[in-house]
Amino acid sequence: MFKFQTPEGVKDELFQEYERKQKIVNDINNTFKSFGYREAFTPTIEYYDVFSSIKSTVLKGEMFKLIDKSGDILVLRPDVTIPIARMVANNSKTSSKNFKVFYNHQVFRMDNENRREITQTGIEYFGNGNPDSDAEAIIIAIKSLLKIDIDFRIEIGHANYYKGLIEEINIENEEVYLKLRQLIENKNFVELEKLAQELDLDEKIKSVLIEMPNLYGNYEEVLVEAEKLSLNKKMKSSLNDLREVCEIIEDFGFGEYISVDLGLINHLDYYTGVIFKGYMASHGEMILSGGRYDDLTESYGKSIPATGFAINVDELISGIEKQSEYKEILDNHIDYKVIYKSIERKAAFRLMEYLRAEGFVVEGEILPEILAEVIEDNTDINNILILNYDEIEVIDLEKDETWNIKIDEFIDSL
Amino acid sequence: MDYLNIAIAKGRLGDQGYELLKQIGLECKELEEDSRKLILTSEENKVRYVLVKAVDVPIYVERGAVDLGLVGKDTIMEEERSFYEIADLKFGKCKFAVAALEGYEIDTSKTLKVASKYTNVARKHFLSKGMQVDMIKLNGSVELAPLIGLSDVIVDIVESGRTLKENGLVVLEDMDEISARLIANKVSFKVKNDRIKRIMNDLNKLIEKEC
Repeated sequence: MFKFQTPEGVKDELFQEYERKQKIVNDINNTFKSFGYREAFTPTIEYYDVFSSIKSTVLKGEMFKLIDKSGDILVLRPDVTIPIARMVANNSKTSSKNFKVFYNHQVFRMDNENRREITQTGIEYFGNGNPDSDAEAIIIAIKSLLKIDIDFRIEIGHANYYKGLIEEINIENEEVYLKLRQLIENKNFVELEKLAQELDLDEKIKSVLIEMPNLYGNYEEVLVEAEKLSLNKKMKSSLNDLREVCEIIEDFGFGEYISVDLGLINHLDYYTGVIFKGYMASHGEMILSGGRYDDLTESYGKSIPATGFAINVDELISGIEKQSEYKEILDNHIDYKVIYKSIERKAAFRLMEYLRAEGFVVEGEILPEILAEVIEDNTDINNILILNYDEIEVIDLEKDETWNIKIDEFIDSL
Repeated sequence: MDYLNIAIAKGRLGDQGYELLKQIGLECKELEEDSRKLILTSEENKVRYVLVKAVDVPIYVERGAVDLGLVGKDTIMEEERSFYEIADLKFGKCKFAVAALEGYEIDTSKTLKVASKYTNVARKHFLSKGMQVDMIKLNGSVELAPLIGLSDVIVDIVESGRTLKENGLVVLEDMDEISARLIANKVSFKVKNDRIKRIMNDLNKLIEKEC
């Protein structure tokens, strides 16, 4: 009966599960707001060309595609940064220089194994190309994660250290570059060394390539090590940039949450400077990723420096579930359940509306034939009120007490 | 100190790998006893071994269910998952190869029928030569396929070549070399870096000495 199931990779989220998710997103978004970011919405459906024509982090094969009436190809939003960049570039003539946006969106990826609908919340900071904006993005990332009380780390890398190294290499075969990048990104110490030795390269370049996966850890130590290996200006200046970002974060007081990994070189076509990722100690998957992408808005006719990050909320929640100390909010949902006969409807409505105006959650039900059933099925109810003309029978399920009281007196007692 | 969780496969690869790990201070007495338990712990050395099927080692590591895994390069290539490959243990050496009946020559005008346990590896190999193939997934006794006319060639791991020879098959083409590898979950590698880094160094030293 597949009609009654959800398709692969998506799921229903009911009450407590969804409420908890919303609470987490809300806490994170409040942190974004406190730094001056404002929320924006981008459409769920976009043109395929928006994503296929530029170098981005989205794979073409992973997009959900639809055909428009005109024959144009549409996609379900596979990423939020690109639409926001387009929006900002379009509005840049009328708006101020700095543009700080946050969002809370679903993205859709046609992945065979993982989730296909992912909740992402994140920020984008346009118009500032200095290290302080990279640092601000990372500081906000840390503050957001601190607020939900998890054990996490942020790892920072730089696109230009590797790009600088590549400039020194003169090999025709494109595949070699792809392979080198994959091996460094996956810290494949074994195969990287084998490949580097096979290549016709200067010994000095070989040794830097082989060292790449080892350049991680405490930023002060790694930067000193990496400095020694630098072969040109591009590599050196990327390290200066990285050092400044780390020092700003240190000054903010968040130094303990960061470390450096120069082997972090994912999506190099897209990122142009500092790159960062966040992970939880108890969870095997990344929960946050971001970086500088100064070239993106150029595709929309206006070059604006930009940085930002996105939190994968679903991954974050699976991580939280693994951290056993997390207490689930198991509040009773209903404060008062009012049971009445239909002839008392008016009085019952008045009572319920009065309670609601006081801020209580109230549910009403016509007196059933067997009262006991309602009272037994009380898993998320605090109080039951049974209306009997001008009197109420109050059943306090928390204290397990029952008493009778006049309606007027009951209202006065609140 | 947290436990270090290591996935190893039952069988020769796992046994040989454990012998190496034992020599660098990751001994687990419980593992050496004859039992049906799947999780074996050494309180003394703060290590926990998880016994899984060889092909499942990569996913246990990728998802962070364990920190480290011991697995053959053949499985790594077939599964194509995301983790750090941190050491070559230099045992279990063999290679992938394309084999066929003696005297067989590939006819490029026809779609080649390929039988293999490693369909992903095989498909990629032929694709890199621009050949579309008819892939037949088998779960064992792959040598049988050309004999009985199920496929033209096979792609399999070859150690000494004896099994091929006894079945009248010859290697047409050598592919990648294979050996046992130590792989690490990307997050664990960072969180438990001091321990993992030490294991990497100790293993590399030990292997160098043995070779």
